[in-house]
Amino acid sequence: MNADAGMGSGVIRARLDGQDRICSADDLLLRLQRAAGGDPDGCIAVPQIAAVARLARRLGILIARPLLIGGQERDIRLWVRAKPLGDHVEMDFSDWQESLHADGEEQAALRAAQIALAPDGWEWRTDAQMRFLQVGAGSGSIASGDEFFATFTEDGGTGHRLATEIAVRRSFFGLAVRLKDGGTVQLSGYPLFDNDGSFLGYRGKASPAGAGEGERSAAPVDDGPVAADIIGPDGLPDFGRRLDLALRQPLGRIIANAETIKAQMEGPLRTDYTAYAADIADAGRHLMELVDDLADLQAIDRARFEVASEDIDLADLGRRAAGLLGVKAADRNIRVEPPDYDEKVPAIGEFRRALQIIVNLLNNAIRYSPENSIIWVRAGVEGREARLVVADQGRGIAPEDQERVFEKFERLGRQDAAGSGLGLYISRKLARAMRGDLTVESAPGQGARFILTLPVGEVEPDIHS
Amino acid sequence: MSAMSPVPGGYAPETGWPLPSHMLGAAREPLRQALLLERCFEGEAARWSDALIARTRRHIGGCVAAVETSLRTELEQRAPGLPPLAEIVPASIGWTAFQRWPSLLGPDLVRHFRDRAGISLMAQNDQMAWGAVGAGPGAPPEYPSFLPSIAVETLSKLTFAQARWADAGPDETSMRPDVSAEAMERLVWVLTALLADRLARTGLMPVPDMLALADQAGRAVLSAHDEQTGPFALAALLAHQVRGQEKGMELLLWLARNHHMAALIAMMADRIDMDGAILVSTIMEAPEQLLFDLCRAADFPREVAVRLVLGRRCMSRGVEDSVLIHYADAYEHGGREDAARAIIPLRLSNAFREGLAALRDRGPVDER
Repeated sequence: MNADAGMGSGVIRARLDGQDRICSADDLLLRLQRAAGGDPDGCIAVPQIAAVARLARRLGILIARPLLIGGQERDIRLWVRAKPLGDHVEMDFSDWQESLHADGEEQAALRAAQIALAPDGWEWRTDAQMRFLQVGAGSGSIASGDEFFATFTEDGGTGHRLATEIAVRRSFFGLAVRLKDGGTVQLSGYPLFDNDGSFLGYRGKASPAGAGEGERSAAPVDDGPVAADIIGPDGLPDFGRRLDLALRQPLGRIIANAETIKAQMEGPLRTDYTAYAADIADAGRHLMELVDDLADLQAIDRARFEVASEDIDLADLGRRAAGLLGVKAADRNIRVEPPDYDEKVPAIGEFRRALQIIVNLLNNAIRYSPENSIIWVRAGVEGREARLVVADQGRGIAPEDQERVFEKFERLGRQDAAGSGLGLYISRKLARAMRGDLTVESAPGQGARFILTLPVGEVEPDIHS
Repeated sequence: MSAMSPVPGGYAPETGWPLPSHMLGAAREPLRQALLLERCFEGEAARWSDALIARTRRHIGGCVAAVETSLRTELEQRAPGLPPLAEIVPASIGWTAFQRWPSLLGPDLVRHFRDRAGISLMAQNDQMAWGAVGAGPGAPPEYPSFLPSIAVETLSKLTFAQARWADAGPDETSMRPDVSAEAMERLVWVLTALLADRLARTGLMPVPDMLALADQAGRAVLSAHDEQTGPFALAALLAHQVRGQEKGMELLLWLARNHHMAALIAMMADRIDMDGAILVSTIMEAPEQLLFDLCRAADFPREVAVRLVLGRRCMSRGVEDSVLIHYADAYEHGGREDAARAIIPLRLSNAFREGLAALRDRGPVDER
């Protein structure tokens, strides 16, 4: 309910002169003043506060009232005591509360999705007092427990804007801010609230300046326009991202409800009804995959898309992918043979992205292999390349189609519901972003061998648990 | 007894205008105010109960006495050359003057005192005072354990402030003037004028000097006033502090069962986004169906609504029991949206309502 411990129970003070100009004010009120478009030493720009100050001055009496200050996305409610002292008015503000407008939840989800799709960088999370609770790899000298505001310089431009956005609990995107210890980052974040509306802190991403678009690096540091690659020219996320946001949640509900019906968890149902539910769940999952692919597509098609360089073990990833899809394969009586458990194939790449590629390859193999067949997942090193091969016993791919399968939306004429035609395109782009590649060897009727290559690693990789 | 129609969701319109007087702001009606004053001081024909009239007189008399005492003290401190005021000016000038010329109080002040008297009666129902909150007389109050400590502190202050309002001593015995800032301003300057007028007649100091002195005294009394000590302000603060409380329903029930009417009305004002002072006046004036609509719009449980309506009977009798039972039975079937629609006129701006009130009983402008 309360904005945070400091604001919720503490008292914020301000003093206005006879013309409603701010003589002195605590920082939070100054941020509100800026958010309302006023200067720190100008006339109070929040009309509700000005009205109370004038009433106190006119009546010559202390005024103690609740105050509602409406904002663009959220309302601020607080308790004000205004005491006239000659022409001046001393004001105390306490019991600060903020609440989202009715459509705030939807907006918050939109913001969260936008931030998730911000240029790659390090993730961060603060508590309600704006201290870092968590900072991701790549944050340099910033550590958990550090003051959020002490990390960035108040240069009067973006620094002020950052402070203002946080004071009024708004999301911000692609704000170029200077770090105290040098360097500039594009900062994006959105506020977190619990069920009662209590402010819990911020979560967001910091990307090296210019990580989104080439031209962004030349943008002035003291003005933080919304990153062009996050928000479209109309000020809204581009179509793909809006699609992602709009579909993911309802699809999740559709799938969950369909699975509930299919499993007859609420009681027995006619067989044809459970079959319909199974169809709905399958279709929902297919659409969800498409949404995932579109989201990935948006990310990897950016000019400056980057991946992390981590020590990984391709054999381990192959075993993980086999484990993830083992049940799905077993449903069709397909046996997946993963690399041996004592096998290690060190490589350089991003763990999450490499696993995504292998899961995609294995998923395709299961989808297009005949029942009662075998899929082999093999890993090894050849020269300076670490390789992982997914080989199946499917119908194979004609030589003239072997490059086409890596094109966007290419499904080689298949009309079945499965697959979006984006998986291999995305996987190859990811592999190449990791300085590797994804190729295929096949002949009609002889199955297919998809080969992921990555730079070979030189050290024993950390095992991601 | 009034004869309100038990039409669910609607009210019998008064003549010539679709919005009845309680929707337009009764304070804007001089005749009603005059009637209240008459009833308060001389008349016998109004609908208000004897208890409300007696309590209103007690609150006016007590606050007037307290403010007059403060003014006299300030005047004596600022004019040491003057003889003690008690020797040159009769006692209780204010109370005497108001009994003789009730209209000096003005409609807003009269309404304010009527409202606080009404709330104090509703709170006092069944021997409210703060002893009723605890296990027995003299026991420490036991507040809901789920309330945050800051709200418990406010509730505690509110309990004691309401207990002050239940003081049923002689009319002119001093009572803490915990009124709103606007009411205090009016009260202080009317009393300052009465005292200044009386002092001017003594000829002990030049009139301009005496007026300047009185002005300083009035300002001093005003600057010492803190409206947050009053039950209405404390109730508004409590409503602010418990907004969004997980156990909102339990709190409402607890407040209703312990006759914390000011807190209930403040929470209602907060929930339906109405000015608290206007809502209190509405609750004093409104027919029972509108009270139920207000409760429904605020999403109050039925028990709370019934307690609120029954609590108001101590000041005006209202509809027959059978009608009340009909309203109460229909309470849970009525939609919150319908109730919210029914109270829209109450949330109109004062200026608009004044405009509508001015047109009332006049008929369309193009009709001759």
